[in-house]
Amino acid sequence: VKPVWILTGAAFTGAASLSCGLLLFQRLAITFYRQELYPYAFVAGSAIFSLLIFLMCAAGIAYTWTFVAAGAVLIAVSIKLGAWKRTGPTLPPLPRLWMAAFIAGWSAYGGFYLAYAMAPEASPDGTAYHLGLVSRYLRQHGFGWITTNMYANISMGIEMLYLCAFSIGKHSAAAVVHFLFLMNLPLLILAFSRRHNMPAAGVTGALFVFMSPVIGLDGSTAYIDVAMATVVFCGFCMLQIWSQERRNALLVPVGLLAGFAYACKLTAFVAVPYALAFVLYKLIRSRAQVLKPLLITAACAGVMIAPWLAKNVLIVGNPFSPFFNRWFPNPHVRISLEEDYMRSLRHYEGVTSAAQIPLELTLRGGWLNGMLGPVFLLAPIMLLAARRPLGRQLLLAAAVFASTYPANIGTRFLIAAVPFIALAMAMVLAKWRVAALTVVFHAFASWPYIVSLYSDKYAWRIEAFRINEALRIESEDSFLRRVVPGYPISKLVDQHVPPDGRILTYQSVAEAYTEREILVCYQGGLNNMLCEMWASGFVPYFLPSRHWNFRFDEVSARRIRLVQTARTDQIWSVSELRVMSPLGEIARNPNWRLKAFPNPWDVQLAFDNCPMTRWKAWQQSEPGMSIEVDFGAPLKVTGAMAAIPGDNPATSGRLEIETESGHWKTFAAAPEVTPAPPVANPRRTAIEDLKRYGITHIAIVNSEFFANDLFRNRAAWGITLLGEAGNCRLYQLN
Amino acid sequence: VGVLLLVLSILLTACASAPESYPVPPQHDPAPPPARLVQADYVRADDPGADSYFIKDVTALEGTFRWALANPKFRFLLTKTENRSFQIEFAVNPTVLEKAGPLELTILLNEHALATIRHTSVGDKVFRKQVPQSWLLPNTENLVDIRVRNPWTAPDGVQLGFVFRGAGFIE
Repeated sequence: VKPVWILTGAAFTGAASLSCGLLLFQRLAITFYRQELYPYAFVAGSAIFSLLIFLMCAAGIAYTWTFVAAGAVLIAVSIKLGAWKRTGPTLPPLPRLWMAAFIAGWSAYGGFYLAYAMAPEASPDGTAYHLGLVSRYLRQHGFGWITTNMYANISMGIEMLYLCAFSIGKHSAAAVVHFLFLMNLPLLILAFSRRHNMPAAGVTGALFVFMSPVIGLDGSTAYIDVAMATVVFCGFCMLQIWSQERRNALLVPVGLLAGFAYACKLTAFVAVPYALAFVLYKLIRSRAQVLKPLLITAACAGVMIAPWLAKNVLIVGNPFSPFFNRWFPNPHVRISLEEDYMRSLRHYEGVTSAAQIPLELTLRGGWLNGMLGPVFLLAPIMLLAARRPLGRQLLLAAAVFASTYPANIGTRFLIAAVPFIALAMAMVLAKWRVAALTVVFHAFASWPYIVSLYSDKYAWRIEAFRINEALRIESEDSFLRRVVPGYPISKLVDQHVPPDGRILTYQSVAEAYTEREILVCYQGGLNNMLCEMWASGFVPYFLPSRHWNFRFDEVSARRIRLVQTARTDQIWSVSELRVMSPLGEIARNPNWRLKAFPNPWDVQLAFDNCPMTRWKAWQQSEPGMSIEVDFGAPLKVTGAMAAIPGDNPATSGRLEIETESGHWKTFAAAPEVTPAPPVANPRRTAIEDLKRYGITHIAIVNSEFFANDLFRNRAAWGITLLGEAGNCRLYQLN
Repeated sequence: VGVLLLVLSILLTACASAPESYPVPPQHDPAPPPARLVQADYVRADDPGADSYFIKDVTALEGTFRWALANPKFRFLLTKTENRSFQIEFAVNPTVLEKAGPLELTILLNEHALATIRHTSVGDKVFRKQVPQSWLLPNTENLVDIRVRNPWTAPDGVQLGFVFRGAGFIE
């Protein structure tokens, strides 16, 4: 029964998307060649259906029945209005041999991919957040107000389609939706090539893309890269058609697809400037009216992009979250986290030289997570395609969509450019009459069982024909326990944690397979702080190690300000800031007002009398950062003491006092530093503080640096072991 | 409409700034146990803060281990005393074995003799034994006293017993 539901969920989502596209084209009176209509309509319609599901999530009506109702209405209306009829002319026929080659490659690899997609979803990102969030949206019937998972802030246009399929057929249905895009991409490439009278290049380019190991694997899981590449390529095709026909109606799907590219993946934002620049250039060259076509394109793109920006603005205060946090500071994604994250994406472990990248991308795939296949070693020949205008268009598009690759050098991040590269290569190979040979070589070299002969042992690739898993001959649970490291703990969590429980963990778990809220340390601002607090129970690194003492003659102060004076790559933090009089600390008054720059949101943590919490700048120390106390009325003070944690020894500060309104004066240019006393009972204090923030459970892999201490000293921490699964232990906070 | 929405979205960010200032929050009031109490059931030689478990005859950290001398003593705060076993992870040093003969340890828990163990070979060892609940004291210090029968007196005069890696109470 399960496979039936999987296929139903995916087919229904695909049909609803197709219906949207067909209705759009009918409404705009756009005609395509018969062979182009469905491939184009599916992609363009998926943008509209995705937007519709977004709106349903925003309205809090994300239920299976609402998706089914909306999709059914779209399908019914499109049939009723005759939108499914293919009335356009026919493309020139394909030579039989090329037709046979295409069908053979498309169906053989397609069968392999379909089984993989129907098998229980086991991809790392798919189980962690692509479907983890989809599952959560369905449970809470909308987006909710998620601020503790930065992945919830990235645009999720494709995941909206997954949500519809997931609501019917669960995880694998989502992967099969991606598979539909994978199957559609070669049809688009072929249709585009036939339109331009290059069938051999079309079949060659389409199969280069379709049989590429990383594209086949990505498109058979709940990732989104292949879907995004399909959207980008479809938009490119429509732009080319527009440049020939110059019908403004075509700019509607062009704009929608450019905007949808951003909605699919942030790195595809270049589709928008590319489309606008293309339209502008063509119009200027032909001395045509510029404004209206540009406005149509921009407005349609804006319709697809704006909802995602607005969602982020409302929830996390940064339209482009999780990026650009320096421009849009907020407490939900820390600047230092973003910088560390971006650095990690640019530098993959094991890739020490740019010279390694070509072989990693094409043959090895171990460090960069997947390979395109050995035929792409020939990629430089694509430059010869520049001799033809269409070749130049392909090369330009390849350059545009590869331009974001340096931001993340994983192989997947080239996928958007691959269709253009492949088709440009194919144009050259077809001219040299060696296209058929290279297709045969690629088909052989990319076959999953052959790939393992030359790829890195740990390369991300399809390892087996998963027909038993697809048909659930092997149970889903058994398979997932075998191949997904984070799955067993997710099941343990469901078993032991009540529905309102919150689990804090250092590592990603298979969130798609649990119904509880998981806070992963690196995924949000609050999570970062909680995990440092948790670790402080074991290592004193984050706890106060020294006191900055500022002493001076008694002065009447309205406000005092502790100002950072050092520029260092360390991150300044203050555990407690105390104001002193000759009789000792001045008790904190409820009328005092506190400020900090940067990170004003956490300033109270430096005034809560808790050694485990701290205000932290969350960006490298710079002179001028400050914490300020406004006493509300003049107060006699003789000093201040700041407790500084051990992880920022290079920072230093001065104390400034406002003696008259607006008149600040430095009273101590540097602190007298003394050691801080050790924190008593840090383990229990850390756990008690986690409880204050609503954490009920913690999960930790056994290899984590303080996992053994947690296990051995459970009583001291105040935690109870609930179980161990998949090399990970789950504890309840007592 | 789309462009307007886009512009509006970005402009709205101006409204997402932080409050001007914050009041003083509720004051945290941790209730730590008496400072003299050791705070956990198990200690490893390289744990941060491990020194607070040692009463005597355990040296400073050398890599991941410490030397236990002739009469190492430890203290542990136990909040739970039922179904506990005492475990010690240690190693017999080849020089000590060669110079002083087989290593023989007597382990006392709160002055009750738990075991006497003897090792004639070098290398890592783990000793574990269930402890009667009546020997253990909840919510206070429990003392572990280990006596090395035949420590080796090194040229610098220090009496070396064994290589200490970790000890404590487990379930």
